[in-house]
Amino acid sequence: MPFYLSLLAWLLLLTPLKSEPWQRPYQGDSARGPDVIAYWNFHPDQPAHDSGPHAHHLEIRGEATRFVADERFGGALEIAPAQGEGEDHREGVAAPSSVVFPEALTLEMSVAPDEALGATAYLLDKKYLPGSDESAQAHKDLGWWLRKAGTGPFQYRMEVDLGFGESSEILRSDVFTLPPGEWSHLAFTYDGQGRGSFTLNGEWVGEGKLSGRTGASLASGPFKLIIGDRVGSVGHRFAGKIASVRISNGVVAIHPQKELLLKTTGSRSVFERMETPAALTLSLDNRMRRNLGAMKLYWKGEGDKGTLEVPPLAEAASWVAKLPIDTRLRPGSYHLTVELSGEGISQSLEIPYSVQARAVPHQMPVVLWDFIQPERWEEIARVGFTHAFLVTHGLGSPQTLKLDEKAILEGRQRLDRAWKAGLQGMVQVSVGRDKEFSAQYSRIDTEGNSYPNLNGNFPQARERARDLGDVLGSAFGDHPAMSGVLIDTEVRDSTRPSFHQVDIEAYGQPIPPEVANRPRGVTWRQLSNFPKDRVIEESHPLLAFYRWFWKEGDGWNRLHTETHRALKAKSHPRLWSWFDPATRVPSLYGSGGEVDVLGQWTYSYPDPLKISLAAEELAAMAAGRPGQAIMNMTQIIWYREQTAPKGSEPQSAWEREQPDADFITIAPDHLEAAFWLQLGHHLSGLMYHGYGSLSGATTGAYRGTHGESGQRLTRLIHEVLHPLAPTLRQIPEAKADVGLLQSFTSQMFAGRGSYGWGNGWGADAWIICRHAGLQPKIVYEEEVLAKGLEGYSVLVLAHCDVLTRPVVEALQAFQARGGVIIGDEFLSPAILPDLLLTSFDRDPRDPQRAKETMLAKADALSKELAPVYRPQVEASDRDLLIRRRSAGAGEYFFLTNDRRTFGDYVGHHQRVMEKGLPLKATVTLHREGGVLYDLVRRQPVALEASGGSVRFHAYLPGAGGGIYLWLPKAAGDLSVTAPTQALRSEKIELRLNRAEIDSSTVIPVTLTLRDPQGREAEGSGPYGMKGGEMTLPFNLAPNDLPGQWEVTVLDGLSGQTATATFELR
Amino acid sequence: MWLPFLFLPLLALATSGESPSRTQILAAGKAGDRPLLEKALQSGEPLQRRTAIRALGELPQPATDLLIDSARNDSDLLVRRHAIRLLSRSLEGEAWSTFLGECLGDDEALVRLAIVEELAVATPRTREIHTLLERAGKDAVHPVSRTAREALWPYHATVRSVRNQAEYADLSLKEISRHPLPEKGWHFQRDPQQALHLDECFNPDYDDSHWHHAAIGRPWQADGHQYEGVAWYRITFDAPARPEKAEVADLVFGAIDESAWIWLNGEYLGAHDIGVDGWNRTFGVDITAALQWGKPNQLTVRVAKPRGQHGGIWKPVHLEFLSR
Repeated sequence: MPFYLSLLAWLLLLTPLKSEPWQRPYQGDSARGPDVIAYWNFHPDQPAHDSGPHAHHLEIRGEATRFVADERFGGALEIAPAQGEGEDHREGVAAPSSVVFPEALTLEMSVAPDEALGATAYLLDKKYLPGSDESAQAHKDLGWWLRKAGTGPFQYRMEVDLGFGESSEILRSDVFTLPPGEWSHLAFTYDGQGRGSFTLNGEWVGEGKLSGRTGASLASGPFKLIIGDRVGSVGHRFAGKIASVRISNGVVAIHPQKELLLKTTGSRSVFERMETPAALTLSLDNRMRRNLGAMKLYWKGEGDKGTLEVPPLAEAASWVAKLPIDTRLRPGSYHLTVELSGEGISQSLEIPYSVQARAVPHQMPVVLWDFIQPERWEEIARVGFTHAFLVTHGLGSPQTLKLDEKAILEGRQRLDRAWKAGLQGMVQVSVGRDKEFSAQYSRIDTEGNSYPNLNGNFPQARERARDLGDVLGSAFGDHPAMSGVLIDTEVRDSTRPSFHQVDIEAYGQPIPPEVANRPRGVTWRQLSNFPKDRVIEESHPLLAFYRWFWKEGDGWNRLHTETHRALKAKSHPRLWSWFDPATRVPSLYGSGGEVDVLGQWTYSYPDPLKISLAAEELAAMAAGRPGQAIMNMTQIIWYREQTAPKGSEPQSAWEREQPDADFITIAPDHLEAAFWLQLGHHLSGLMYHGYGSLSGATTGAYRGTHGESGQRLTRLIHEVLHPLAPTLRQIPEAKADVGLLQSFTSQMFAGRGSYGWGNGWGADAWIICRHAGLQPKIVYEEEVLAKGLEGYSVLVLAHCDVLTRPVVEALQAFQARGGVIIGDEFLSPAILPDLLLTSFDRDPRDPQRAKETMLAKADALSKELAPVYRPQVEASDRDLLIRRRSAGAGEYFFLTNDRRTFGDYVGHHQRVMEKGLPLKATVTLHREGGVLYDLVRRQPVALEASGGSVRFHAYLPGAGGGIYLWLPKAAGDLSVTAPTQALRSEKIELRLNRAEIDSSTVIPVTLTLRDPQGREAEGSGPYGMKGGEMTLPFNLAPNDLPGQWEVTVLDGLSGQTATATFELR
Repeated sequence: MWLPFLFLPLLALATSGESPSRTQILAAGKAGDRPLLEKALQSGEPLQRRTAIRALGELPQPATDLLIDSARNDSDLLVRRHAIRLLSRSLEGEAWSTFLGECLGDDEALVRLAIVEELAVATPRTREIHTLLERAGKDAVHPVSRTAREALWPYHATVRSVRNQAEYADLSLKEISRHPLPEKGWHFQRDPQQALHLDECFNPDYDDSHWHHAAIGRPWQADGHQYEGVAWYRITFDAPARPEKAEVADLVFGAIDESAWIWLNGEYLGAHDIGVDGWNRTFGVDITAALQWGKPNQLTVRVAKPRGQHGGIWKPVHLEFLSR
């Protein structure tokens, strides 16, 4: 074909028609033909008249609705915006209920929305009831509405709720902009085979496919058909003008022009470096209204290209291709160029994609436990957060257990975008979220009354928990940026013993009636014939029940496990499931089931040490399931009423500015102290919740009332956590020689335990021990029974009123071999403690007195213990908190300054001592010699030796901390070696060495690999170098820059650097 | 395994003036070496004596004389406590209760507390034991008196307001409305014998027409009751209909001087019994399950004021309706 003819053909193809049929009132068969169900053109002569063949005439429903003349369509329906929030008049016009929707159908209307168009605006409705409604009428006819979407102004999507008789399904369009005051044509077609398609002004704006709906017709319902509002009750009117509303039988072609639609349809455009297989998905939709023969598709990427044969495509058919991409490229943004030719057609497309650097090993997630909108993603990444809830879904909601393709696609695209912003995504899922389902399979009391908490002993509940994990894993589990799935958060606070037949069968015997409505146990004083020494047998029927109930009998641990297993079966291996708050239960192994990670929520007031206690309690719980990791959360929010009650005087500036704030920002010094305390524990990640209070929100529940907290956290994450994280993650806990027993038996028979809240005497006893220089590990009775108390020198028994005989025997054996028991006045008379630590009543209105009391008790306890026990490290000041971890010969000491006063943020209300004060103290390590390194400042620390110990001086600012490494002898010099030459795409190895380090000790180093232009390459970052040597493999990229490359390693002990170079050819 | 090797040195040690080590004391208990334990009880180190007294409990023959002597005379309260605990395992009958009565005069509250705990669980509850518990119920130290009173009194559970319930602890509860209870129209009755509960005076149908008329919002002394001890308040009030959004309800007491036990419509809801500090504390009681919305409700409050100038429901009471 001559060039000019080809060009002409293209012009004909691509030039839009001057006027599409829907751009003017329909005439002739388009208005009155046999396929027209109804057509309302609101002509000024007869505005309520149905111009179609069936006379479905209209009547106006409300005072804000009227018929108006219109230049374009002749006439229109106009509905005024609601005058105030909550206005709920029925508006729009009503057609008779006799309108019947056919199996395949097309809905159309032209709209010119008002600027005040609401977040949900009904275009047409005959369904009225959502699919979640229990009414028999809930699944009939259809509703069609606009819903606000996206982040820009006037952005909406169309949604259609289709009622198939027994159930309903919703289809959603893509997001589009609907300019106010301008006419836009909206259409929805449904092919009767499950496929629905949306257009805006003739342009395709998305489609959806319903599985299992082939040949299914909509059911006819009893309601009138309403244009411009919902049938009843809600008042989501369409504010603006509506014209030319047509309902047609069958799928009517709406597209303005013939076209061949070449587009990317894949759910991934961001890939991890070296990920394989990696491909972009491309689709070709034949909308040319003719059959097409074979064509060729050429593609070209960075250093790679290929050709694909496109098979003949029938009219309206589609073809999908996978185009491989090279993920060996250096991290960055790229694009793939696609050219299609044949059949007189030539089209091209550029598809952008990114290659993301692989994370260096042993990174510490800093999780923001909040749902964050995209516009804040880069902001939270700058703070240092690595993970957040980024994707929502409807799983577990009343409507459905399925995710539609559009929701999955959007979720995966969000993950792509978040990944590029430096974030990993997380989602929540819970089988208990569906209230209807939970009510159907609920717990019941002894009278048979339902209790609204899902009963995990029902097989249906377990099956559903499995399905949730399966669906979620299938949708997102393979995406490298999907990192965490929170399963069933906060479900066990409201658990109760249940007396359903399934519960009795699960227990295998009748459930004791005494436990009804008493999930947290009974009172031993009210039990007849209770042993005088409060020592009961392991087989005590109530103890046996409660142990069963909390471990497996309430079913939740099993439900978590079911979801976890199904999810993990469909997910990449780095994805972790987690459960929180995991210690809102008694002290018994098993909380969270088999999830990968246990988490806990904790407020830092009145004493930041509560954060450390929460970590200790998490570790105790996870000890029951080897391999289970823990992440501990610091709440960014503080309850206003507990820290700075509204209306209290005097008021600081923020109280005058935000008098209605319910949740305020954690004080910066508490945030910092909590941070340092957290690092002392072997955690797999840090969590924070309440970003609104960190980001300065001035509306909503969470308010930003202290601007410094966010800056402080940013600094700590970047300066302290980031360089040390790979080291911290590899240092295990030191073997404990001091324990604090949390007695499940006493919790069930004497109402003890704080259930993760860190309140009460049991928690205060632990805090006193920390101030006394002890490092008490939380010990469960199960540990005592399974492992004995070998290795412990001191055991603290606080709130251990009732014990079992085997535990008492273990404790007595411990004492008999010289172990020291510290008991309180509540201790079972069967145990005669060596030391007494008496409780005190904490007055929440006097935290200073509480702290003074605890420090005095700590001082006395320390002195009393001195003849029989000496901690391995001691501080000259009880406000200096020290925690020790060890790896081989290396010992790591974590210091936190807990000296505080009230301050002027909330402190003037005398509820929280929130202001840190500087502290000077001497730290004594009971070691003969050795060397000490400050890992935060990367420098050696001078030690003074005397009397078989070494000492150093610590100077810490308010709420400050430090991390130190003690080694028996000085570490040798650090060296790095690299090959002298390398080729692009080659895999090379860098070797780091350091003498005089034993095989387990971990030392922080920071490696930087730079190309000849000084750009950092993948693999740069902090490492934890274990055992004095480390081999790091690097995959050089095919597009890396030739020339001299430099490797620099910053030594975390001395601050010195070692370098090596190699020539890339 | 190491006990036989320690045994001979222990004999030598027992006859020397040197104080035995803790390890030696523990071994002596296993070996039945009373002379060494006796010597250890003379140690100037409390920890040694505590270990020794515990080891005495392991001797094949009860060392009652040593235990009684320690319970009476040792300067360390923990030694005395341990001695009393161990004696409670071997002594019984009148001799035991007489001995406990003697020790009930101990200066240390924790020793008295251990005694009261032993008395509380003793069976049979003899007249002597009952008398001792009544005596301990007047102890100046609250945990001691409370433990004794609890042994004589069957209602123990601590009150919990809605806000203190674990399932609401992490929620911001919103107050929908509050409704003050009448300050007048109450009935009041002293209970010096602490026996009115035996008549189930907390029962809604109980006839309180012979009780005194009283008011709250002021101590009972303001109504002319110059009295220390236990007294009861009763009132029947009309509760409003349930507000649309109200999910839970608290009954909030501005303050009761000093301890209180609460019944609503005959259902026991708990006690506010924290000692002298309780006189000025506002506290709430979760009445969601017990309240009859839009109907008359009968409230009974038992108040204990062991000593002091004022007592009673001296601050107003109101209903508080809350939603999540």
